Amino acid sequence: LIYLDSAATSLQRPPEVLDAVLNAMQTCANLGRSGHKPAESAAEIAYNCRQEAGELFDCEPDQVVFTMNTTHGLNLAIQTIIHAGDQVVISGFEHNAVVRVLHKLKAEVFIAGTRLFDPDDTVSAFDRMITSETKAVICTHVSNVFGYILPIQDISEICYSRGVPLIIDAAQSAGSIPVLLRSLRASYIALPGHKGLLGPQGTGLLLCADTPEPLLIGGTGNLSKSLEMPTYLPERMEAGTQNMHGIAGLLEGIRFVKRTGLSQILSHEHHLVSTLHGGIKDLVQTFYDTKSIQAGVLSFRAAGFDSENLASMLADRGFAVRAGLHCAPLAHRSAGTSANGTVRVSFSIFNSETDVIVFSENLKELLIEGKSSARHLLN
Amino acid sequence: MYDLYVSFQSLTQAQIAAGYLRKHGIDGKVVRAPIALAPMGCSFAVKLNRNAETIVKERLPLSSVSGYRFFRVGWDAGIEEVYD
Repeated sequence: LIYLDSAATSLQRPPEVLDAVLNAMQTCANLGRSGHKPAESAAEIAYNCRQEAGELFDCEPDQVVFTMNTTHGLNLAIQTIIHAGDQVVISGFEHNAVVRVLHKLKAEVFIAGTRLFDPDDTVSAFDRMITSETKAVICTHVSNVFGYILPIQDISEICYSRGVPLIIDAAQSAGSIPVLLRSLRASYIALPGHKGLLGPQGTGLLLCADTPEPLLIGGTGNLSKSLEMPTYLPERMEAGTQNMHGIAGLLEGIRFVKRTGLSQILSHEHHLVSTLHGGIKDLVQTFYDTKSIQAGVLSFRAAGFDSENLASMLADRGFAVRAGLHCAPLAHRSAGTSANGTVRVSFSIFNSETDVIVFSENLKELLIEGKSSARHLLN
Repeated sequence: MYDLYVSFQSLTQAQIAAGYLRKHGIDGKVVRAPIALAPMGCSFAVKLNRNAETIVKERLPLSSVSGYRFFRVGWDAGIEEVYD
């Protein structure tokens, strides 16, 4: 199998992550609940994870809240700020983790910037649409479909100058691009533990410059006589037993990313995207940024092929890619690819140039076979 | 007999404080606070070596750590706040 679906979740992980999960299953009890050694081990791992994450994302350890995934973090942030009828400005590349939440909340949504790989247009669209009525801006850092790196620092400056809270979806950028809570001046940044940070599924982080409202109410191991949740972070947001085994793995994933270096990871992934684009651009329509760096995602579509069918044929040959709408119909609408979606190839630090070459050759063979059989059917 | 505790509402704050104290040469263990401290809103604490009292009382090592309270807690659960 050649795994090319890291934008969905990581499959290849550093061995330290696997060891840490197993070790935590054997040594960690409930975080913050007891004073014995297994509970202390859990507390130490949780704190180390918050501290390492704080260093990577430029925030304090108590601003790092454990979540299940990015969607969980986005729900916490969005449902804290947005209520029915509130005006919200979002980019044209948002995931359903944002769009569906806003729909449920009956927010009035304004879409800013639908031109792919055009940061100037994106910035000017946000500049036009953010008004004194805007309750919040929600923006993805990187499109999960196209790898487009949105000009988040510029958008952040506009929000800050107008006093509008900013929520960032860093699902595709955390672990390959700097995501800095302080300099981005965001209220909240939601990110996954299981994608670029190479941790286990079921892990995520919400970086908090403000204090959100909890979605889960319950025990936290402190202030037990109070009927209210603690007012302070991170405990306010972490009711119930935490995913300590996952957090232990996430800690090692973050350490791996820090050791490797964000610029090294992005550079490697972009090199693979460029190589793939060069290898298949004459066969299919690729969505490739010729002017600036693209994150480790390349979408394409092939004339005459259903995207899901093509992905299925690739799977039969041992290639794991994702096709369709990628839970981001808005992004496809912006790019004009709603009807058939795209096939998405996404890389991690563990992919090689050989993966790209073998994939390109197999795609070429499939397309030739497909066209040949189509001609046969027509004749 | 009594023990010394720098106490916090939050486990994470206690962990931050322990790290800060360690950098200043004061070792302390993060523990669940004695139940006698619960009415003061303290659920977690850094339990200190009693020789550290003088150093901690100078406040300097804790100057960047907020929200703490400093207690002597007797083995009979009697408590005395060192300073607020």
